[in-house]
Amino acid sequence: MSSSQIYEQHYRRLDASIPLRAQRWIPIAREGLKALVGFRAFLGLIAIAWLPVFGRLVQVYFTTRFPEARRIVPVDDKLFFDFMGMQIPWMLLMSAYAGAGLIANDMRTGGLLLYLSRPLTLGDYILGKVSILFASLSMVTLIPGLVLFLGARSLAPDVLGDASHLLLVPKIIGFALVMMLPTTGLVLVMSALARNPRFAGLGFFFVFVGTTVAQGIAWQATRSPYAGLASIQACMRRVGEWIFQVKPTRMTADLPPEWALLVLVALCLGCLFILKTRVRAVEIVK
Amino acid sequence: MTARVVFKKASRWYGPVMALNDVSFELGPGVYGLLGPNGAGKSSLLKLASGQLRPSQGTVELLGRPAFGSPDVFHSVGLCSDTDALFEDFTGLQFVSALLSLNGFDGAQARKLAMEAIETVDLKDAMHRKVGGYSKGMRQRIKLAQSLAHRPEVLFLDEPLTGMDPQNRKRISDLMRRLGEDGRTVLVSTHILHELEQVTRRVLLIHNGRVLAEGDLGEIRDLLDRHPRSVRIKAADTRGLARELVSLPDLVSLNLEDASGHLLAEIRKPDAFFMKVQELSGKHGVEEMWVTDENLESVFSYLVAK
Repeated sequence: MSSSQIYEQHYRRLDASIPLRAQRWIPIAREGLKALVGFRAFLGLIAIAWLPVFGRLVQVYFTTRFPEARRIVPVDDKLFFDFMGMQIPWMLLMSAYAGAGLIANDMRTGGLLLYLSRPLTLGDYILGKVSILFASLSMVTLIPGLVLFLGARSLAPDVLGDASHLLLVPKIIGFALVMMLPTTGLVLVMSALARNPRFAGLGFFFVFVGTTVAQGIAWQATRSPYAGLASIQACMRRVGEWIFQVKPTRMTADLPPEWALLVLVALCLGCLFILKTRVRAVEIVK
Repeated sequence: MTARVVFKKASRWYGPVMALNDVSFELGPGVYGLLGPNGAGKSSLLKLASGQLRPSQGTVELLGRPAFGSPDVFHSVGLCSDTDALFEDFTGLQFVSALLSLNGFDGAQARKLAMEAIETVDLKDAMHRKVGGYSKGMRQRIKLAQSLAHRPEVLFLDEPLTGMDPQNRKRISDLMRRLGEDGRTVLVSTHILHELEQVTRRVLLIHNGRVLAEGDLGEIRDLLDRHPRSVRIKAADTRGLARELVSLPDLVSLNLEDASGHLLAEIRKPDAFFMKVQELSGKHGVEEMWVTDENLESVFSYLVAK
């Protein structure tokens, strides 16, 4: 039996006049995190970074059993400040692991075109990448800090149970932000500039550790507390000391925390500026 | 014609290097070939058209909006770039779905559209394999799938057939033709003429950043036929063969190369020449024959010289 074709569907149209939707960065962050979670090293790093939480909880439990021990290891703001400060090395490792390739790989391979040929702005792309790193760093700083607080509160309600200690929550969040935001900006800038994840990771460590070395040299030479402004880590710790109202270290004792905060804010803004100008889908050859 | 892509005196410099110079054209529905040798400016033109670059001078409009700085038009635009960048740790299905989620499709919808697109490029069997393990041709096809999965009105395809086997070349060429017949605007860049002949008759010829010609492929073919082609022949009896070929009317020159003993012929109508050599091959022991300048660069040099 013969037949004559009336219609054959090749290709169906979708509505072309769709405005840009909100939160366009979320799929970038979601897919990026999904990819990271697939790596054992990423999960292993998180697991190791959580070990100090259990160490500190044992310490808190110990002080509840032997109250006289509180004179040596008190359960107070300093415990949480020290804990957060000791998470900095884990934060650096996580930054280098999860952040060094975030932009570098896209820039090197031209993968940025895959994103920017979608209804996204460059800002959405950067925000998506920032979110991936921010979430990764939270896993080793903010979330362990909050879990430590909740654990310690339930283990030692006589010490941390009253409402005034709830202020520790915003303090932990504040210090975590002070640690994470400049670190995120710096590692993403390195990733955008180096275009090779290894060089980006090394560059990040070099800048982070290098500024601390610079602080040490400047302090030895001048004995000025303002030498601390040369170090990203010293600025973070000084702002943290101010947030938790703990006794500052010798080298930064007289450094105004406002100045340290200003340096960190300037670093974040500088990083944003570099990201906005350096991240391009198309290589400009000059 | 509803113009969807409009170039008005558009130029683009990379520092002192001029990639595109004073280019003007309009594209409506249908398939268009962007033909030019390597380094002619095809990729720059596609990047300007797809809003990845801002024109240094002039304007480029895409669906009635400036192509650069209008991300919302990308709901209706697909780009298959020449870069080999894919999400290597994703499966083919995850890769296309993830990119669809950037267009705002939710999980189930993205997956459905991704599967349709993957089926269209005949990668269904490999869609659960990691993209990192794909062959060159498969990578090309998954890139094509991501560019058309959201059913765009305008498609920019940069060397889309590179690395594909003949069967898939045919399949993808048919797909491009169908997209054009269905009212989409498809701009395909290539430096291989016969690839384009299977897809469209409408071409833009580009060389050294300038659009040399715009029109029907047949006219380009005529120009090519008038372009003398160089042919090298290896034969047991080159002198005897030369004696018989020298009387052919479309022969421009004939030389015997001392070093190799090969015969070098310059001809105007290759088809007639090839038939004649084939006739004489047994008599004079012709072993090999090949065209030495059938690349697009030489054709363009010829066109530019004219």
